Amino acid sequence: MISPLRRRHRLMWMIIGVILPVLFLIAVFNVPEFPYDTVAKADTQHFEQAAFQEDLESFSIEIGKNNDGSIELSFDLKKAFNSPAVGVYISNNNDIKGAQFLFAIGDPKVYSTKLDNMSVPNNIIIYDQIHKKILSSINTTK
Amino acid sequence: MAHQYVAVLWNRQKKLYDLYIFLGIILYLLAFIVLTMILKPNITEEALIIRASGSLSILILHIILIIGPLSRLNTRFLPLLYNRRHLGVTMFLIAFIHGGFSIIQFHALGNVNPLVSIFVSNNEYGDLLNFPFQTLGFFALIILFLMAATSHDFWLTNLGPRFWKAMHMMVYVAYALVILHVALGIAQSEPEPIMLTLLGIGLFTIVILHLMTAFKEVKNDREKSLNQRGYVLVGTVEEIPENKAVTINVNGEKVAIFKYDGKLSAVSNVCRHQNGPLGEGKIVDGCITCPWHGYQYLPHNGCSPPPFTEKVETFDIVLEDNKVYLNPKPYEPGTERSPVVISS
Repeated sequence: MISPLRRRHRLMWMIIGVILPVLFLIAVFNVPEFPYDTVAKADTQHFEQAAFQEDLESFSIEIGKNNDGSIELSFDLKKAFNSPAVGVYISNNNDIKGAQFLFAIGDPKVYSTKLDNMSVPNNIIIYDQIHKKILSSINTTK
Repeated sequence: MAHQYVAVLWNRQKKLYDLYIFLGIILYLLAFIVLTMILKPNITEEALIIRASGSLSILILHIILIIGPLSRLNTRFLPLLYNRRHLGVTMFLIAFIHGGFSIIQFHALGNVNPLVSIFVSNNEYGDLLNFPFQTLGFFALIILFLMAATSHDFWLTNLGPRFWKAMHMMVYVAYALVILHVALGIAQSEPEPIMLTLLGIGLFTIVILHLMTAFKEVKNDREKSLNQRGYVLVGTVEEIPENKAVTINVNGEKVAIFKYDGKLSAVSNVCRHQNGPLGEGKIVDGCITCPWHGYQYLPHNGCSPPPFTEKVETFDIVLEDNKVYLNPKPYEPGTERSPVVISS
């Protein structure tokens, strides 16, 4: 390389060398925490007494009480969504703002997690995290 | 080195280079597909294509960006530089598959033009962590396309080596966009620790190697002062390796002083092809041979051997008391200067 390009190379890497690792680390340290330990159970779980059940073409949802009294939500994804970044949220209204994130879904399988609250949530929202769009909203109070 | 344009000037080295690229790609794809089918058996074909092509293009981009500084730091890596443009074009084609499938999968099913959809489907441009990361990948792909489309000596000659090289340095911007595309995209929605770790290692390796190279050049770029007669001391004859050169910086650019067959000659360090460092090359068949792509020049006049027409500047040197001095005033490219004979 000639001298002016060597200077440009040096300048570019001094800038990239500072900014890029910082942005990368910010992104890594702010990755949302997914409840991996509670998702992706091998088999479909059926509760003896389900508090809520919904069976749709691409997925089914079941909310029921465990023996220890905890409330558990089981989500059986039958067909993958087109978006690669889809999350399941619960909310007391049909709005993603203020909704509680439960887990991300990708491959067709059963996902389940215990709910913090001891009551069945009003709404279960399937949310496309890339396009920021509600794909489906299930009202459990109907 | 060619005196006319052909699509690809094939030779044994280029064929071998491309064979290794092809085999590497096949091996990677096989490994990726098998591992993914084991770990995520329900993955769709579209997702598999998108992820395999995306990860492979990032891997090749890292290899491309490592080759440059490694070659500057250690000449053993120079053979990797020889046909790097084929690696670059291959990387673009694989990235294009990733981008094309992603646009079809995620943006072609709505009622908005898919290219418009990339920019308007997520408007959180002010939020770093929710930033529409696909736009970053899109711009990286545009840069990579421009580079792949001009990766030929036709464009190099017509745009001029300086502009061409400056344009191809945009690959660093494309690299930054790609890293952010991953860090703000798949890393946020499906954070795999192994993926983030490998990406982090790759990023820090590239940054450190390029900074090391840049600052090594700063050291070499320091100009030596002139003596009373207006000459610059190069060093002793023994300090110049046989059939190789030492370089010194004069008038803002380097000059290479070669020792060969008991003689000394000085030429500009800047190859006419891609501004490669002639002083890091060696004498092959009586010609200075550029370490980047093998362009050749005769040491005593800076001319490429016929039928080639490239020429570089020549310089006068003086040998006194076993010390080599350079006159920093360059002669016109291709000017014959008698080599200095080293008396035994």
